Amino acid sequence: MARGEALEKTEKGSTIHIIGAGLAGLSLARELLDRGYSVRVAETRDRIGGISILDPEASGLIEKLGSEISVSLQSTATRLGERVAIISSTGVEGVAKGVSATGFRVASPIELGIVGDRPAGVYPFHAALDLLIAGLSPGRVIAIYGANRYSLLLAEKLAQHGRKIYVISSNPVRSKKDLEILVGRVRELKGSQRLSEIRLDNNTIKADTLVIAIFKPWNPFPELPSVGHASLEIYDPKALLEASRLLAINLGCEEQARRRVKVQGAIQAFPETLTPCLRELLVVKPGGGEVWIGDRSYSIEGDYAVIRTPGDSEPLVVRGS
Amino acid sequence: MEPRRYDVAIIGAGVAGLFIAHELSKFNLSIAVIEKEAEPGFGVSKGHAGVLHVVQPPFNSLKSMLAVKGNRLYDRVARELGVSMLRLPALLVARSGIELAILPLVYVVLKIIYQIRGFDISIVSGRRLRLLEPNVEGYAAIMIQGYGVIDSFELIDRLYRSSRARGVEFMFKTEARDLKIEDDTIVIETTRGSIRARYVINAAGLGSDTLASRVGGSERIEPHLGVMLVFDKPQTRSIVAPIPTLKPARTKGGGIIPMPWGSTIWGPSFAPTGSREDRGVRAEHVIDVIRKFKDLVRIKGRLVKAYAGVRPSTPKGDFSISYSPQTRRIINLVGIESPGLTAAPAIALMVIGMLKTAGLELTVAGKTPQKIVWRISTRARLAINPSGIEGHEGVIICPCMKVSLADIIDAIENGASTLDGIIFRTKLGMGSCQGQHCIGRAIIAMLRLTRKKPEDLVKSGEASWLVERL
Ligand SMILES: Cc1cc2nc3c(=O)[nH]c(=O)nc-3n(C[C@H](O)[C@H](O)[C@H](O)COP(=O)(O)OP(=O)(O)OC[C@H]3O[C@@H](n4cnc5c(N)ncnc54)[C@H](O)[C@@H]3O)c2cc1C
Repeated sequence: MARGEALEKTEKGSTIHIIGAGLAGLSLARELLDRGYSVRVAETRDRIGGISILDPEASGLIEKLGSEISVSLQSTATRLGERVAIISSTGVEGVAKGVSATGFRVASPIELGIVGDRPAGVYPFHAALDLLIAGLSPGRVIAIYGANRYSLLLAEKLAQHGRKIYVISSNPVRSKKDLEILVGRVRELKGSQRLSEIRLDNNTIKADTLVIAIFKPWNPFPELPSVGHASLEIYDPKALLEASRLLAINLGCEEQARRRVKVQGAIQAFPETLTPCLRELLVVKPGGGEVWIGDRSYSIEGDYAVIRTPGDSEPLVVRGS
Repeated sequence: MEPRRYDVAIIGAGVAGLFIAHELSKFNLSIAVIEKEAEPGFGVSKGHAGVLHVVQPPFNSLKSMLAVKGNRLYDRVARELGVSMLRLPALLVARSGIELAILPLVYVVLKIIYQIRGFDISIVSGRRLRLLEPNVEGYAAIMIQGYGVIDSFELIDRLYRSSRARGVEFMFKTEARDLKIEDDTIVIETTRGSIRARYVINAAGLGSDTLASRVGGSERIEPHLGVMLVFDKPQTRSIVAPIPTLKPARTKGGGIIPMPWGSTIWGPSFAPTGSREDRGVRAEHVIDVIRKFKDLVRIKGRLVKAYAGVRPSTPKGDFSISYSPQTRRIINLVGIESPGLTAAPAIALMVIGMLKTAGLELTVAGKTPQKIVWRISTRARLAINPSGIEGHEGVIICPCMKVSLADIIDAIENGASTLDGIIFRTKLGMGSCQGQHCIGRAIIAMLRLTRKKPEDLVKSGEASWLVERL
């Protein structure tokens, strides 16, 4: 991802393509429009909002942004040879300047160490969400693997529709509403046609559906800068808005010089490079605690903080305590 | 009314049965294909590695001979049917001092075996190896020419559609239960009534021994599981494997295999299983495969999937293609394990020869059927020339594999009735993100396009329901 943010000096006249109309893409569009840029937002689905669509804290804002910003729906960014292009029913358009706001990647079963049968009824989170929005349920007895803001919202929604829900989490979480939370790791799936059984390391449950809701940041277009869940694993919508603001400052910077942000240990920082215009850094530390930027320490409350960056030393090193 | 009697009934729409149907359909014959699954190619033919092999140990076996013949037929077949296929060499790589030391000996032995059958073989120095395969780690290698990889899903689809266009009748969700010999007619008892034919080809894959045993066959299948791992990026240009040494059976064979659509397969593993229905990926098999190949290549891309296939192996370790002991009107194909995909076109020719010997008259069909113009997928169009992509072609459902709504419509119009049928035909969900952006949307598209009820949609088998109303 080192090539990220290689958006050369961005002239205000040229269009910036934002790929993805989730909270990150829409808020970045707003930030850039406010700074006088011409922006196009491409969304592969036929709706905006991405995985924040169920989020009561974000839905109002999404609706507002959706009414202000024009989004091309069913417009999908993909790689054509060395280029990124946006494909829609009206044709193919090359992307000269763009930003990935394509959201999280859902971990695959094998990546999570899940083996066994490969029956019907195993869905990545996004697919289950697409089904739900279309008025369909992915199953009857549904296990959702991963306990986070989005998975719990999906769980509640499906429970409201009378589905039996288990949330499987590798570490203990506060039990919300009447959701049954199982602490463990999924190891093996059983089911010759439809899923019938999920074996955890410490338990076995009968379920016909497994929704995988373990997320990783992933930028499918590494030559473009990324924002939101494409670059950060964070579950607070406000953090996504902050990230969009920071990237907009970066993109708008006339000066070419950049300093790399080097991250040490299990810490995330955004963006990956800083222009001279940007003097802030978003640092993620789930649960809060101490982080170091260069030789200064900062204390984070909550899961993240936007920190004013010190000095001009090159590069900027961020590490945990 | 007398029930209809076909000239030939083929049991099994796997790659073997389909090639036989495809070749037979060029003659003036009435042909039926009976398949227990909902779509063609849902048996053994759906869980393999897609390699066109050259020779196979034991080298004087029927399967080795048919693989050599089949391999040579594939260029024409792929051209005729417009199937993506790549020709590439295999590299057997020496990674240790010991392997390097035995390399010349292995080379001499293999040279005899391969060169006689027309496959070029040479030694590749460490320097050349690094040039040929920058991601491969090794001191030197043996290079064997003549391998291939093929999009076998596309192959199955095209064989099916071309035979259907030439009048072959397909009966899906129809399982053959028994065979009876009545004078010059064979009666196939199926789950949907009986079907009569003058000649019967039993190409029932994992079910072939059971059916053959109804008419005197004694071959017995001992199923073997093979696990394969999929990475989402190309890693090598050739098929790469460690130099063969005496290895435990569980990791015999397999390689690092570049797929025609850009991903990489590692495997398969090899282990007996008690059940013919078993498609379970076991942790120890995944570990075996990783152990075997991890030091051979610098990993590019991410491990995105593990899947398993079942080989219909027999103790004899060879294909058995023979007349039933009771009548030459029944031909049984038992034990069509690897390299059955490679051998399939040659198997078809062999079976046709046997039918002729058994008295089936083969006259070339009078009028040549209309040539099918194969539709070019959106992915292929985007690769060649993206201009003109619009309408449903421009509505991309699967961003990783560039599958459009038009591709899904085409798959459904040409026989995909299940989600797997769509996946196999389009490669939907086979890319980096493994279905997160497409599986839900594809199911919704299926609902709209087929007008089925949500509860009637299936992944593949009858009980593999996908969704219900909220
Ligand atoms: C792990 C693995 C890797 C492999 N890799 C390779 C490779 O790289 N290269 C290669 O050349 N070969 C490979 N093979 C071998 C190849 O896949 C098989 O040889 C080939 O697919 C067999 O085709 P088939 O038509 O004989 O069987 P199938 O594809 O199983 O076809 C038989 C059909 O008959 C149907 N059927 C069964 N019983 C009945 C019944 N009673 N009534 C009606 N229908 C019935 C089944 O549903 C099935 O569709 C591999 C196999 C495995 C398992």
